[in-house]
Amino acid sequence: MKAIDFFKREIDKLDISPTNYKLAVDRYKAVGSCIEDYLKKEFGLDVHIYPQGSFKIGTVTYPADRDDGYDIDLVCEVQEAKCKIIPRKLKELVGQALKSDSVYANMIDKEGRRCWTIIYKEQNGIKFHIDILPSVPENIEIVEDTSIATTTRIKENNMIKDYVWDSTDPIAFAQWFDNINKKSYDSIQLNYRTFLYESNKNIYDSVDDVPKELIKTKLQKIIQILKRHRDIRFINSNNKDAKPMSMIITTLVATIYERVNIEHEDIMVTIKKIVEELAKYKILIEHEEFVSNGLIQKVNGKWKIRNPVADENLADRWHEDNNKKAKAFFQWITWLEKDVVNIDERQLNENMDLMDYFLREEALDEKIPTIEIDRETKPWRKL
Amino acid sequence: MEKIIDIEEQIIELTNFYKKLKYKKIQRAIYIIYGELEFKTVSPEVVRGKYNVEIQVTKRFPSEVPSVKEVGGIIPEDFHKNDSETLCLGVETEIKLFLRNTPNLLKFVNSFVVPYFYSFKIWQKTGNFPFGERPHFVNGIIEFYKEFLLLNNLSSIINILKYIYNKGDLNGYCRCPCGSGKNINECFHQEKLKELSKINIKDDLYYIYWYYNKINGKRKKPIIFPLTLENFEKLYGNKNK
Repeated sequence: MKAIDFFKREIDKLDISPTNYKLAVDRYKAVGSCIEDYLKKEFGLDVHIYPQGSFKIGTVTYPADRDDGYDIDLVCEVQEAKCKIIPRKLKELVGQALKSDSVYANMIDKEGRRCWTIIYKEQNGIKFHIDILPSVPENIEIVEDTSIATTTRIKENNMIKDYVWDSTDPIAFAQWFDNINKKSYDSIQLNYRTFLYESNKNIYDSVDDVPKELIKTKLQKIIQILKRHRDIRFINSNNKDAKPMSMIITTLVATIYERVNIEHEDIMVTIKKIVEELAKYKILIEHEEFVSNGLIQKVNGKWKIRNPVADENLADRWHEDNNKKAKAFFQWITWLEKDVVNIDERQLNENMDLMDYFLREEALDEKIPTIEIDRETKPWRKL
Repeated sequence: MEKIIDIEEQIIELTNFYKKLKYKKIQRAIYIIYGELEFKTVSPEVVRGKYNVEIQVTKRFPSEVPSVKEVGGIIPEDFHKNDSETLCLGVETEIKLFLRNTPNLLKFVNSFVVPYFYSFKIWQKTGNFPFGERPHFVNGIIEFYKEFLLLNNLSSIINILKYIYNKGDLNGYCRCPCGSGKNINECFHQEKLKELSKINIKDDLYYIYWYYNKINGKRKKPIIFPLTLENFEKLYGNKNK
């Protein structure tokens, strides 16, 4: 089987189905209105709830770790001036809103570093969890400014020390991504939409009801493949916690996709070119050098990957623990080169799935004794 | 003084390394190691292998070479195999010399059994043997001695084997049986003779001598297989004389 056919077939399997997508939307809307109602009633605050991240930009992939399930990121933007509220209070308010509801009170996970997480029970074999990110507008008086301030909990000796503000801009990021994606989206959307409508008439009343998040361009499919590869490769790794963030992958891949003229190439060729581009930065592990188009930079031992739309360094923790995260990222690039770029087409068979394919060697490697043959023994035969 | 080998300790070392191998004692002095021999070679080439094996080891290890069978039906009949499914890992003398210097079961498996399966895999893929193969039967034995003794002359090899069989002096000022005209203690072969003298080369001598006579048309096939001591002594004389 040709590698390209294999990946095409697999990536369709990874995608969230229209039914599950609808379920996810219903669920996040329900959580959203619960928070909205509570904060309005108790404190007179307005709240905007909207999805961000992979759910918003249409690159959701089913996690390799089957206990995790789909991960939906929601922004809970409380309409209050940043100067009038402290981060700890904001985090507590949103937590309080969730705990006030008899249903969500039992589903809420322990407090995360930046989010509250609602975990849903498995239904039809599908698991979900929703991460809710409490935030306030960075500049409430400027309507066009979509940047938000989020809260980050800082721990010291396992005790909560403080909550601080961080800045990001999920809406502008989604717009930036859509912009890069737009041309291919426009060219495929009608056919794609009709296809999804025809095969899911029980869910949609008309072609227009099909959400645009379900229409996948080549760029989105590439990001899905790469994220999937990352998930599988890191699942058994001792570096699991350091695996590259989806946000970093999305940023780098979309930027390269836009810069290098690869729009009309075949999907595998495109992936190869993207991985080749990223591999150029490997040199930064050992040397601080100037790499042209410096998507990833390293200055004075600190790493930098710029959020394309906000004053945010996505790699701000890469130097920690002797560059642990940076090393994990480049380890992943090396794996990609091996698994996807230098793909040996003969080894793909019809019955394999992506999980088997990527894990093929890794899983075996763990248990099998490794031998260096140092004796060139020649077989013989007595009779 | 010969070091006493604890064979069970060696078997445990082997089964700890190859976790899918198990062992059982089938008689007072005979052990069977069985199960999957799964390995990955990293050099010269990366090859993965998984073979169902049965290795029989006796308490006489390392003097007695373990016999190895592949029982999963992967190695075809016409590959390097003896009639009873035993794998022909290499010329026996070569293995015996190895075990004499390295009396270790795990190292034996890694130096002979794994390379055998490695050769098989490469042969399957390319049709070539990565390290070459020995000609069958006596020609393989002769080839080994030619390489080991660095001699091309069959009669010199026979002379050396005869000398060892008859327990010739290895330290004195006798002429080296290789025919170089040098004394043994000056000849390159002294070390080789010493090594060979530690193992039983009787069978090799017999086979090579038989072959030598056959190609030189001196005698008909002299003795019936298998070799008996009585017949052997008729040919080569009593070693105690």
